[in-house]
Amino acid sequence: MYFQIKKTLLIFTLFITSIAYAQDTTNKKTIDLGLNLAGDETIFYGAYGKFSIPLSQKKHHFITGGSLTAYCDFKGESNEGAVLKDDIDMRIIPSIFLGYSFNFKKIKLNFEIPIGASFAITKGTLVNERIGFERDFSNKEIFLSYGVAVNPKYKLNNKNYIGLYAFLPLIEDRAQSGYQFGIGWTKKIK
Amino acid sequence: MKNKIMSSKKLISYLILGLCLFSCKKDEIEIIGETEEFTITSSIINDDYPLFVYFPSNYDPSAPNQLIIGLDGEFRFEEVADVISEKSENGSIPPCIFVAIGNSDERNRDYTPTKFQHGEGGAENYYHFIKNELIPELESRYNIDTSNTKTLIGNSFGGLFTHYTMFQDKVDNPFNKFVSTGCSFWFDSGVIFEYEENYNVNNTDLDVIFFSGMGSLEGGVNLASVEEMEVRLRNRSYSNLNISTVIINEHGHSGAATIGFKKGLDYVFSN
Repeated sequence: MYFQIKKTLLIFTLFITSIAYAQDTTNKKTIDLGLNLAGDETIFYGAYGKFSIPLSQKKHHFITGGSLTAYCDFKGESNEGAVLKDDIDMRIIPSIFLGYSFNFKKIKLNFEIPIGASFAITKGTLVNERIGFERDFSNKEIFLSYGVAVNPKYKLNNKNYIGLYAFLPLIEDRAQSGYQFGIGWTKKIK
Repeated sequence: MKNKIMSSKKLISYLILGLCLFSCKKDEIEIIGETEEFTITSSIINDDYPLFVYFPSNYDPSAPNQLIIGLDGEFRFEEVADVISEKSENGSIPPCIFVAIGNSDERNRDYTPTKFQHGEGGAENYYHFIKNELIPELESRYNIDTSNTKTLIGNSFGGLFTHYTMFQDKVDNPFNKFVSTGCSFWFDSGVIFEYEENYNVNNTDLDVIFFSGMGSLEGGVNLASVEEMEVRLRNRSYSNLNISTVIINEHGHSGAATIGFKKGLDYVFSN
């Protein structure tokens, strides 16, 4: 119950704050694409995309937007003699976020609070040749995903940045939606 | 004026966000009862093991108590003691004493049945240490039921060792209740299934109460293997086997452990 109240308050605050600060802007919308390592107890590999909208025309300004992250575990805990066949173990995480962007001459530093869903999909077949059995497995679950993200970027030219991305999940069980560390490219689009 | 209103809105937003993100903490349970620690030296393994002992409120020094032994003492003592404390308070566990075995740094040596990757295959020695050195020492110190009805509880490699112990010769096995969570079925390509098969070759019954829990986010090898183990054991038609396998939804390897311990103790002490 305590966590449900916390989640509801967080969503409400993001929504109200986005409306309160949205306005016409001369700052640019941006799109980010990147690769990431993710997980908690297991390392997953994946990619992310993000669309950001400035909420003011100040030098340092609030931003909002949406992102889509996906990452997979390509090996699992299979080893010689017990392998996974036709297997998927992945998280797909669509999110919206509210953030604040610090803009310096060559550096842009974004702090963001993403909130969204984590779709966990695990399925396949375990083929254990050592013991001599095959068994299918399947699990699909959806979780709330939220946390804080830091996204420092280096300006290459007027339209392009390269940067790093780090996400710290604040959910209770980080197997649902884990830490993320990425490297990406940002392009101003309008 | 407009600027003042905007500043107030900002301040309120920051305050609510701060409260949302950082003000809530997981409920904590205080264990009720006494604790003590001492160290035992194993001549079988030639190593020292710190022991973390918990006497819940229903511990009765004047009558035989159930002995519950837990693995990974340094990491797991408090959370298992929490569960036992709660169960002791609500009367859902018989008078008991809980002993968690430390020296968790050597878990790769002690809990693994074979040499594989970082496992050193010391489970046989560790089992003999528990059976022949630890339990006699505990029985000499405390009022413990000396029959072979003790409980073993472990997670991960500890779950692997729990399975290994269950498949040892029943005649002198001090345990008849087993709680395993997040068992490392992946270890050595599922070698624990060979111990299950070997037990079946030499025995017609498995007179135990066995709980196995697995987090739904622990990956394909473990999800498939925990189901395979249950199917195999049920197909053996052991007349005195009580078994419960539970997939603990919404949790990974670490998160499932505490829930599994609670469900497991509920199960083994309700049968």
